[in-house]
Amino acid sequence: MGEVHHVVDHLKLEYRGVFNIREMLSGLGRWMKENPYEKGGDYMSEQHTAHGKCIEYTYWPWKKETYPYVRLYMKVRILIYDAKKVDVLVGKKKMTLDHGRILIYLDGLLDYDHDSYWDTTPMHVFFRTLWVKFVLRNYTKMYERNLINDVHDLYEYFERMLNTYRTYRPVEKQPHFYY
Amino acid sequence: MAEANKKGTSISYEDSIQLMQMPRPHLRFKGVWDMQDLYEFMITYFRDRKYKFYERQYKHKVPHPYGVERQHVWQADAVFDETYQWHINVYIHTYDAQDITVKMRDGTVRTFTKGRIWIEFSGRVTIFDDHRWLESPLAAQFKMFINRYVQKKRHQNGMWDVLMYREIQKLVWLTRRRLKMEYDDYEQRHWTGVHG
Repeated sequence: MGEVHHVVDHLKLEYRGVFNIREMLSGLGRWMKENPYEKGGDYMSEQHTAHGKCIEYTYWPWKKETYPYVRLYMKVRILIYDAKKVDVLVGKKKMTLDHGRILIYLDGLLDYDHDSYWDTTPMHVFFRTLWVKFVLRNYTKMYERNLINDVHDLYEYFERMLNTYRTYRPVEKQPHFYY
Repeated sequence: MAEANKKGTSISYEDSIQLMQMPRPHLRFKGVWDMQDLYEFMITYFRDRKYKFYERQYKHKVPHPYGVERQHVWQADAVFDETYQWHINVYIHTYDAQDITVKMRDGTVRTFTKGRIWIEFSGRVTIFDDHRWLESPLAAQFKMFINRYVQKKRHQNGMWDVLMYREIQKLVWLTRRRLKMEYDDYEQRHWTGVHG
């Protein structure tokens, strides 16, 4: 196990209204493929109750930026409460959608030295820390910015899918060597 | 590894086969499902794909007023080629399961299960899973060298992801459909190529 930095902590989106679970989650799969993140493990829980379906989806998408050094990963947790099917008129077409309450939590994490090459002795860990924090400081910042951009991009994707008001989050300036 | 180094002989067998661990998809469901259909379907899935299927454990625990608790531990193995072997493990645990009789719309009567179910999928790829590379420490180290430096790209690309996305996630998807869960799409359908 390498050194994990929690860069984005619990970006939260809450929504109550009409949505389409199937479309939202298949779009999330497309987003992961396009960016590109590996899917990672997933956890799905579904309970059928008298007041609707209570659903939980958790994904851990990840990708490697530079092979042995750093891995970007997220924790995407989607909680859906009291989901019920409702019929909605879109134009003149009748559609069956879902209605309920959604809570989405996004976390962004950076994993340095995930292959644990520099984990064996305290001296190795010391040099790894020096390497991450000082020698490759600009690269570390760049990876953090990339991760922040990805997490906010995903957040905006959910906002678009749920058709909420959106806030524009500008991309911070990239370091000169990024181009 | 450490133990073997202390002895000064060779690396251990478990260390030398260099497992590639997979992420573990989980399914948890509370509702009504057809356990017999699910059971037959999952085993047929493995057999149709030429896996050797082993039912490692079948535990029927002492029933209590809320229902029956059962555990199933399955393993399916397939030889991909002479280098790689695929292993898929499935762990199924049902809680508070009760058989209920349901009269369908066409008048037939079917038996379903009502309760909670937990399914965990895991898989791994073993590389050179045989003992011929362990006859001497030199051979074992040579194999480690080949895996780490010569065949590294081959191990990384087109092997674990094929097992994950084409074999395990497909089974997860089909299981979700059997359980009639809300989201039952197979988003990794073309992640490993469109001809899979």
